Amino acid sequence: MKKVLIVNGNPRVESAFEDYCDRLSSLTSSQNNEVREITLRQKDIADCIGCYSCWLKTPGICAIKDDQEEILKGYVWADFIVVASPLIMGFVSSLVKKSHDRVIPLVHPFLKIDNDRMAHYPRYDKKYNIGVLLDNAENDDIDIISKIFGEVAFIKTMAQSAEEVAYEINNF
Amino acid sequence: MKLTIFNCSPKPGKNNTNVLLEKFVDGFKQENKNEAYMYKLNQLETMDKALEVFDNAEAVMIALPLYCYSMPGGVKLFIEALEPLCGKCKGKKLMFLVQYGFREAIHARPLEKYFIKLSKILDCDYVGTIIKGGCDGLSIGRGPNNNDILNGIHNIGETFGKTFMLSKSELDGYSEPEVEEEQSISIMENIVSQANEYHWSAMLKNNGISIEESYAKPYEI
Repeated sequence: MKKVLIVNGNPRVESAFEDYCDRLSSLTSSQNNEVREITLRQKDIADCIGCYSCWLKTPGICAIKDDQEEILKGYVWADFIVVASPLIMGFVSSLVKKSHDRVIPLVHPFLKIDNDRMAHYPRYDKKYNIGVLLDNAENDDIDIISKIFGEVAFIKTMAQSAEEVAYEINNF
Repeated sequence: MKLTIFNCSPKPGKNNTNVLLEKFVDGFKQENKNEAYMYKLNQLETMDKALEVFDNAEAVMIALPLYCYSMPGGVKLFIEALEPLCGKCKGKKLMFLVQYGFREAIHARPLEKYFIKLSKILDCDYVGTIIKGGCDGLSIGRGPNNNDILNGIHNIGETFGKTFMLSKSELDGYSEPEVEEEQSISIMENIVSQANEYHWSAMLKNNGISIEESYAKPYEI
C-alpha cells in the first residue's frame, strides 16, 4: 500500500482533464493505496514573497498562514506525489506554480555543491517521488517541464489511459 | 525606443531585481532618445491592467527572480492573462531578465527555453534572456561580486540602447559560470561552507535560532 498525494492544479471545473483526474484518483484508491487529494482552486494559497522566515525565523514553517501547510504536510507524508495540471500558455498552471514556489520550507538554507552546481541541503530525509500529469503537451513542453521540476518519476499526458498511469503509480 | 519594463519581484520592499533594473535603465538611457517605463507587477491594480500595458508597449522586458527553477507563481498568472494576445504581437520586442542566488547559469536555462516558446506563442520578436546568478546580496549591498554584476548589467543596457538587440556573447559572458568547472569545485565547496558559516548562520544566530533548531522537521510523521 502506498500513500499517494494528488495535487490537482486544474483551474477548470468542467473539463475532460478533471474527469481524467477523478478517474485516476479512484483507480489509485481501488488498488488499495491511501489517496489524499488537494484541489488547489478550492484552496487559499498566497504568493511566496521570498521573506526567508521558513529558513531563518521559524525553521520549516512558512510565515504565511494559509492552506499551503496542507501541501507541505502532504509532501512529507506521501510516498508518491502526482502534480496534475492542464498546459496553459505552454506551462503548468499558475495554481500549481504558486503552490510549488512555497515548498522551500522543505529545504534548509545551507548550500552545498551538488556535482557541478549549487544546491540546498534537504530538511527531511526523504526523496520526493513526483509524477507530473498534463492534459496534453508537445515534446518541447515536456522537455522544459521535466527540466524545471528536476528528477521527476514521470511526465504523463491524457494520451496515456488513466489505467496505465494508475498502474505506474501503483508499481513505482 | 520606448521600453516597458515589468519588475515581477513578489517582494514587497527592496528587491534584487530592482537593483539590476535601475542599472540596466541607466545604460539604456545613455542614448538620449530612449525612454523606459517601469511597472511593479504586484502594484498594478489588476491583471487586465497588466495586459493593457503589455499590449500597448513597443518593447517589453519581463524581469523576475528565479523561484524553484522557474517564474514566480504571480508571473505565471500574468502570462495566463496574456492569452488573448496569442499570435497577435507581431513586431513587439520581448526580452527577459532572470536573477537568483545560486551562482551558475544552468539553473535558469530551462526557463529561458520556456521564454523562447512563450515569445513564439505570442508572436513577439524574442530579443533574449539576461541570466545572472549570485545576486542574493544586491539589495542589501553585500556580496563579493556586486560591482561586477552592476557594471555588467549597465553595459548590457547600453548595448541594448544602441542596437535594440542583446549580444549573445555579452550575455554568455555575463552569465558565467554555466556550471562549476572541475578545477573550481573544491574552491566553491570552500566558498559555500563560508557562506553557510558567515552568512546563513549569522542570520540564524541574530534570530536566536541554533544550528540544531534550524534543522527542525515540524511535519515529520
